Amino acid sequence: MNPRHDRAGDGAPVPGEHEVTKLIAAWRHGDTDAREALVERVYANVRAIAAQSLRSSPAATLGTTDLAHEALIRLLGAEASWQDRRHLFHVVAQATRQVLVDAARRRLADKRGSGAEHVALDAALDKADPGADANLIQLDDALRDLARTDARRAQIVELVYFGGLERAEVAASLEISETTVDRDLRLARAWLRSALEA
Amino acid sequence: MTSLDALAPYFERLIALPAAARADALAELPLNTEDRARLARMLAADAEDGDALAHLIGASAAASGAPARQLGPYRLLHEIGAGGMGTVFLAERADGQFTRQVAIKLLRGFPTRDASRRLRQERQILAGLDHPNIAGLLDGGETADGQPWLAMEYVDGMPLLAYIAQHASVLRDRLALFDAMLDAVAHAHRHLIVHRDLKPANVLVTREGVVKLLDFGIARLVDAGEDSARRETSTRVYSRGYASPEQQEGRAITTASDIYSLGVMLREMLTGARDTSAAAVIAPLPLDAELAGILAKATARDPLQRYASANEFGDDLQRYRIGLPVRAARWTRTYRLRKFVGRHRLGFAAALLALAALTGFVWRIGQERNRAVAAEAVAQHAQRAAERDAASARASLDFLAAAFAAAAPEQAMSRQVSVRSLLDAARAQLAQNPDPAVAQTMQRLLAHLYADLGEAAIALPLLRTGLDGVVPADRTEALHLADDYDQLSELLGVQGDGAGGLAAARTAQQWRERFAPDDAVERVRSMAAIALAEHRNGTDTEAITLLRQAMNLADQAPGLPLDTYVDMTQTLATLLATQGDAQEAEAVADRGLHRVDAQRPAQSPEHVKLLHSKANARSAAGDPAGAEKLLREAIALQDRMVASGGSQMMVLNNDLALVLNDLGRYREAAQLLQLSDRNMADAGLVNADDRALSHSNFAGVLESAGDYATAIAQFDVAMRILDASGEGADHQVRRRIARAQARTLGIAGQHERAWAMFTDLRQRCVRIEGEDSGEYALLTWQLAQLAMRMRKPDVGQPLLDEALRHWHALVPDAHPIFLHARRMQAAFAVQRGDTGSAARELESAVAGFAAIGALPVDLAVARSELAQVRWRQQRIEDARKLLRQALPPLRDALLPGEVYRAAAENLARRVGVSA
Repeated sequence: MNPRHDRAGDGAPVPGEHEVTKLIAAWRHGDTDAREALVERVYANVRAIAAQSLRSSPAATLGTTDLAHEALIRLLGAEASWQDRRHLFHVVAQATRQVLVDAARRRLADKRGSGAEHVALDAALDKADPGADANLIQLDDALRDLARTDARRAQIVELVYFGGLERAEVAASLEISETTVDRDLRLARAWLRSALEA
Repeated sequence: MTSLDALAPYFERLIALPAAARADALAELPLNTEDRARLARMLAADAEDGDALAHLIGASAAASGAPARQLGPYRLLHEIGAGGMGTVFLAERADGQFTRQVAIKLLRGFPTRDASRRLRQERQILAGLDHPNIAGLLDGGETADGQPWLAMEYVDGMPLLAYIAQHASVLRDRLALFDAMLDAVAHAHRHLIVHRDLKPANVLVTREGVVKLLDFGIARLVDAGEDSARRETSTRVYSRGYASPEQQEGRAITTASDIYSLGVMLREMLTGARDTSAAAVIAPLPLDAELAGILAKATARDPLQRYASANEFGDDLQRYRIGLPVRAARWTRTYRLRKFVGRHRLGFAAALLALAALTGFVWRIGQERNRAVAAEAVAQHAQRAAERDAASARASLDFLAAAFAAAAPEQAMSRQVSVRSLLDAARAQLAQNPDPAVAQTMQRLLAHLYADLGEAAIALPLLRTGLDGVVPADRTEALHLADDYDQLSELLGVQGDGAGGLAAARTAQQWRERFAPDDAVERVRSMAAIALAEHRNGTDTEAITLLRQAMNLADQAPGLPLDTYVDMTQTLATLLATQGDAQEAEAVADRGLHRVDAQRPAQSPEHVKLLHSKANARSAAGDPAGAEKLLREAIALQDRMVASGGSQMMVLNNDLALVLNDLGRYREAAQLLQLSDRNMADAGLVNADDRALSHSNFAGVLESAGDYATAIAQFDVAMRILDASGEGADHQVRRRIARAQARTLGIAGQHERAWAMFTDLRQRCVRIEGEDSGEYALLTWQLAQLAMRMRKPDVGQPLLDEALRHWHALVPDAHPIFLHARRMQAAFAVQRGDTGSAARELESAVAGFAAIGALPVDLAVARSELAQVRWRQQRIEDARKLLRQALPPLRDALLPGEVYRAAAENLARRVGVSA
């Protein structure tokens, strides 16, 4: 799913909590369309928050933590059930990763001069460091490699770095102990960093 | 890569050790070289400071966000959306004392200087839009980089469909929302701004329930930023599901393109689905036939078939709401019939009912008034045939069921002529049916129906094949076969084979006489059919004789269906009136009315037909005032009894307009003809000749009223219609229209073109009609008149003399044409400088017009012409007196630009007469 082709209308506000909760319920019952719809909505939302958060502290290394949390609260409301939140963690983490990686790819493509016709507006505005974008794409690739052999470890990385979850939340979400989360995370992080440096 | 599982225990053991001890411990592990190196790299990475991954992600993410920007006086707050045209930010005015939130749209791409200029122009036009349901354009500019941006009214609202799902469950509420949208679009269209990208995402509803259309004209504005020659048709910005066919195909985009998108949106607002295939998101409301008809009209593939304006669209919805028939009625009717066929496709009788209804429908919108009878007869014919022969009925049933199934799939009803597609499907089905008995029956049935559609070229071979070698077994079959031969006669006659048509009608008569020798009704039918064949063969005298006999016989045949009787009466009255026997024509119509009175309530559709015949008789008798009264009565009846539109109303309005033209009430006539033209457009399937004639009539009335420019334009339309239908120069309708066109051109000063046209027409006339024809006399007269306008008395005088010789042979001496001839003589005399003769001719003309009680305008024109001559003779007071009499009727009937009125007004100014 590519956010550049999303169908979210210009100026369309975030859909009501109501609808997202319903979509999540439908998704849990195996409705993959609901999942698609949800993901699409999350993308739009995450992008909006990204623009806002990053604008307020453009130099920050921040992350995606605040981002994802805000996305959750906006989408689900503070009183949403844990079940709903747990499902959404994964969605938001994946969505955020996808959004960021797509944006990075797009910028790199623009800089290479290809597809000048398709210059996206937000890309036209930015003054990005091309190194960071290349690194992010490398990380994305490495994470994908990792997911093939070590799915759980890759997911922990995704939840922490793109989903902005605390270790306790990750543990609860994956139904593993916090110690396991710590151990897996440290291992995966070490591997990823070594992979990036290679 | 292999799983990290194998390395994990070692990794954990080693990181627990102090950093200095790790290298030795690593060396002792039972690992191959590759894994050992891998582990070593991981340990090194683990030992680095900081969270490199978080840093890396953050650095890239920082680039993804829009950095804080100031655009003009606006401070961007955050992104609120992104679409095909650009990214939208919420922003606020930062410099003023008050803060106002706006939506800032950054358009993608960087325009050239030329494109920038266009963009600024477009922006100014868009800023002129001021409507409560349009999110206005407030400001605009370019970023430092040259990227264009627009500041627009920020709307804090819900998307249209979401709003409907939550707050507008009933039809009334949804239509109210749509009304506001239509109002906004109408406003924009009045400013010549087309939205070009109407879709639900561009419509928001505020908390107060106010509809706001976003991005009006922005699509075009984006295109204005392009340096392309195809801006008018750019396909760059649109939304596939809502864009009109012309937009998707890159053809010209007009206001009709917005109408299409609105239609798609209305469908979605009502049914929850954009088209029949999409799943519903909002609670669907049932669509009745009228609404479906409205939707179909709005989303017609041909832009000309759609509502002409948002207002018209709105009016039709309003009519729907208060229960009036909607203008999209012809769609509606098609739709109803389609549904009817769909429901009943399993019953033979029912299917035939549908066919009869379909044919009736075709007739109502079709060309000839007596077709309904034929259609009904066809249905009855087929039904009786089916009842007679069970086996054949079953086969026919199967055949028709298959044909209907093929022709009426559950498709969008953007098909214009579903009748036609139904028949085509039936015909295709027939080609696969090997049973010759069934095939021939169906061929004959289909031939009747194609004939009703005016498709003689298809009907004729079908009917010939269907009749080939068929011999009736009994009386019933023989009578049906006779009807088929009557149809064949009509088809041949219409195609110009008059002799063949007569032969076919006589064959029909033979079958009737052999199997039903004593049946008076059948004998009347035969006579009427032969009479029509005679008429089509050009032998009207024979036709009249036969029809008179048939009418007498009909009086002794009470079983004769009234429809047949009325049609016969109409035909006879028309033929008599055309022959100039107006008195008998009226008597025949009266006789018919008498019989209708006895069999029908005081007001019936049959009354309309015969009142119409009687009016035409009066008109032929030179009594346009009496004709007007009768026609108005017929129109009121038709309106009350049948319908306010349709082809019959069109014909009535047309005839009334011609009568009013004769009465000199040109402006009323022009209005009526416009109405008639609209009826015709509403009716849809009218043939080219009728349409061309209607435009030509309109042009003629305009010419009479003095609006020459519009008249010439209308003639051009008429000629284009004939060109499109392939009518050649000898075609009778074309010659009539060309004659009228040449006349108008002559009056409008295009003398050479008019002269060439008249000369060509006169040559054709000699060849086709002969020199003794009325048409030849008229054309000669018109050439003389043109010579007069060209101030060439030497050319004109011999032409006038020749015309008069022919007129004397054709019309009685008391005919007003001879008074008009005096006017022309006077004009030639003036041109030769002989004002004395001119005055004498005009004095006679004025006296003559007054004596016969001519049209006020004719008398007035003659008086004004005499005034001109008196003025030339220096008899100013006489001129003034004549002008005072002439001006009021001229001003009453003629537009200021009409040549006679203009000349009279001019003279009035010179001699100081104001009224």
